[in-house]
Amino acid sequence: MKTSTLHLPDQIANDLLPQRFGRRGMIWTALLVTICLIGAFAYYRQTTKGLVVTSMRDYVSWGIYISNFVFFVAISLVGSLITAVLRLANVHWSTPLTRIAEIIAVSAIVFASIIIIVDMGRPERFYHLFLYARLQSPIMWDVIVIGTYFFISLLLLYFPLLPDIKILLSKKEQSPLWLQKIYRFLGSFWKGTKQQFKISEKAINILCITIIPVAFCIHTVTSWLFATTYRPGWDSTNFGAYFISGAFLVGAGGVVVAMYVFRRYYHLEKYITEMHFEKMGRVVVLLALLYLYFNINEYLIPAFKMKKPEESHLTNLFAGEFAPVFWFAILVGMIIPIVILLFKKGRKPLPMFIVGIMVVIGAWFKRYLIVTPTLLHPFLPMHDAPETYYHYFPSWEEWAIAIGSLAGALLVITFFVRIFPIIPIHETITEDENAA
Amino acid sequence: MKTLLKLVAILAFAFIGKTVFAQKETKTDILVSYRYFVKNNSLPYLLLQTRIKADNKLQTLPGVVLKLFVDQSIPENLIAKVRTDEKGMAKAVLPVSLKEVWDSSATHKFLAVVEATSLEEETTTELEITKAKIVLDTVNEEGARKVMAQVLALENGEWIPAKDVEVKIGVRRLGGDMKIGEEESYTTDSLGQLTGEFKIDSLPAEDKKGNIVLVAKTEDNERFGNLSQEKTVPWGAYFERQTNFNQRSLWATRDKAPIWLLLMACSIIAAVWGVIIYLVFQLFKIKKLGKRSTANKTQHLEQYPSPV
Repeated sequence: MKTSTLHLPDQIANDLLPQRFGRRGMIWTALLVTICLIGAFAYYRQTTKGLVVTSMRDYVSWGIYISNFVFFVAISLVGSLITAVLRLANVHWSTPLTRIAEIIAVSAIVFASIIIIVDMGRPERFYHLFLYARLQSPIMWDVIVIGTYFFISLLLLYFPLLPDIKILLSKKEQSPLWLQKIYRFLGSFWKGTKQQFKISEKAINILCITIIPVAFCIHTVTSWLFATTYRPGWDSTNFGAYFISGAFLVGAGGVVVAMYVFRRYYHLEKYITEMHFEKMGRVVVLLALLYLYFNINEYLIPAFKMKKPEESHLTNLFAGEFAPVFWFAILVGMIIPIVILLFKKGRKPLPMFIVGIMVVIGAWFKRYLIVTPTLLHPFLPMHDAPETYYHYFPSWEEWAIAIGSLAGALLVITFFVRIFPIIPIHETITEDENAA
Repeated sequence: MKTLLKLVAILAFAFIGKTVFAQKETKTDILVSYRYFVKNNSLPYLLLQTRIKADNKLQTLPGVVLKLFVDQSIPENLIAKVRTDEKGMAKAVLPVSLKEVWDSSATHKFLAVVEATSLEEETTTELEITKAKIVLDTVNEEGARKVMAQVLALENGEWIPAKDVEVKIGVRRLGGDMKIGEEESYTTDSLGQLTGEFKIDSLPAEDKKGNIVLVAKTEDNERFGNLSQEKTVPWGAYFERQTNFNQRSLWATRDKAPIWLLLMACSIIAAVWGVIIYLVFQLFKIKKLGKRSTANKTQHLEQYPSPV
């Protein structure tokens, strides 16, 4: 099955041009802006009153901010999967999905950086990280690798955008003046010459090769923030692979959700076809199986040994306070999606969309489970700690900031889609011509 | 009616009486405890603690002002005026000005006076001591290291051996005194002497000579208080401290990162950022090519204008 053949280039360009927000788009944007503003207000309260407004205490010092950070880092990995891995493997069906994956990666990595600053008690000292950098610390490695990944993702988003900007500039009548100014600023120098294409192609190939190890590093290093700490649930040599497999899954789930939404809202059925859902369904089921395998390793083996210091942590997850969230994350985030996607009907757009949402929500709670229960069960419990230290439920400020950051990431994607084509126009035209 | 008046009168009396007695009850007796110290025959000093009995238990009382006298509570014999700290403790050293009074007798009486306030009764607490000293010596007999101490009390201007005095012998360490053998304490004989064997091998010493500090002391002795005498002997063993604090390691300070880590991290960072910089350079190249292409087009149009 081919994406589409024998479309006129002009028709393709017109179909894929960014569109003005309709009524639903305006409501969606307003909703996201409102959530972001509430989050900003909560952060204002946190900066003025201190981290005491959160529920984080001496036991749980990493709450939902860090869960959110791990979630953002995880979902950002999709850029390397869809764009780089599939491109280098010469897989062409993924072309309409590359920009979706890249903008998800960029917005997620931006908010991963923001949320980590939110978690700091003294954010004005952020620059101390660089001034007094200690290279032995995995936190420093994370700072370096996040910055690097952000720039590579940005370049990987920008290079393939250049031919499209030329098309956008040629369609002056279809975009307002302010957009034309942005296009001119970003890509008026792109003339589409042979030499320019040659350099651009080479640059994209280099980026695709570079982004894969950097993407692996970003999530491996994030996993080491936990694994280098001697605590129940984190004391594992397998954390890097476990985190990367989970990251690919949530990223793929995020792309599936975005595919469905853009396809439906912008009527892109000709470009994001059922074939794409079918293929992505296969990718998601493979990744879900892989992640389930790592989860079994991470939980079954310690549970089989049931070492005394880890017992309370594990029993709390399996049958205690965190059991509902734990089984929700395992079932909704992995097992049910696998069952649905094993059937051909399950790989149709709507079931895939539902599966994508399940995977993303399950993944968020999975990150929460990685961070919080472990902190509540240290090997060396505190003496005479107040009762409130033994439990953690985020305060409204934490919820507002965490949800605000998620809304912020969606807002970046929303604005991007308003300005740029979410499916690469030039690449689609080229592939269509080649297919013809 | 009469019964009612009686009841009111009883209640009123009970209430007034309780208030009056309650006022009287608020005046508390302060308990002052003393400890007398002489270390290495230097100036004697006193450690005091003030406490009160409240809620059926003794509780420390901070901020109490005490006047300390020797022999008589007259201004000439004032040792010091002290105020107890947050732990109810105070310290006073016998001043040189009282040397004459101190030398005049072998036994002395200390008086601690807490002046009356609205809350506290005036209290005077006494402590009597006899001047004494410990003479400390060591001997090495056929490889056995022995510590010998003699307790001497001052009587009629002469130092007389004090018998049946309990003395502890130990080695000064950071957290306290460590006993030299199996005995907790020793008792002086009729000559006021005692001997203890030093049985600790290779005790870490503070300097390269292997010096350690021996101490013989009485603890809260009824007659002599707390006497202590120290002697430095080279019976310890010096150990070179093994520390990797100044070495490069993963757990060292930021300026001591391991070389292999620096090399690895810096080469990875340089390689990846080198690629990024190269790609940014390529962008500028694309931009330059674009400008050149525009210029060529304009030139072409100028040379071969399109027919109108």
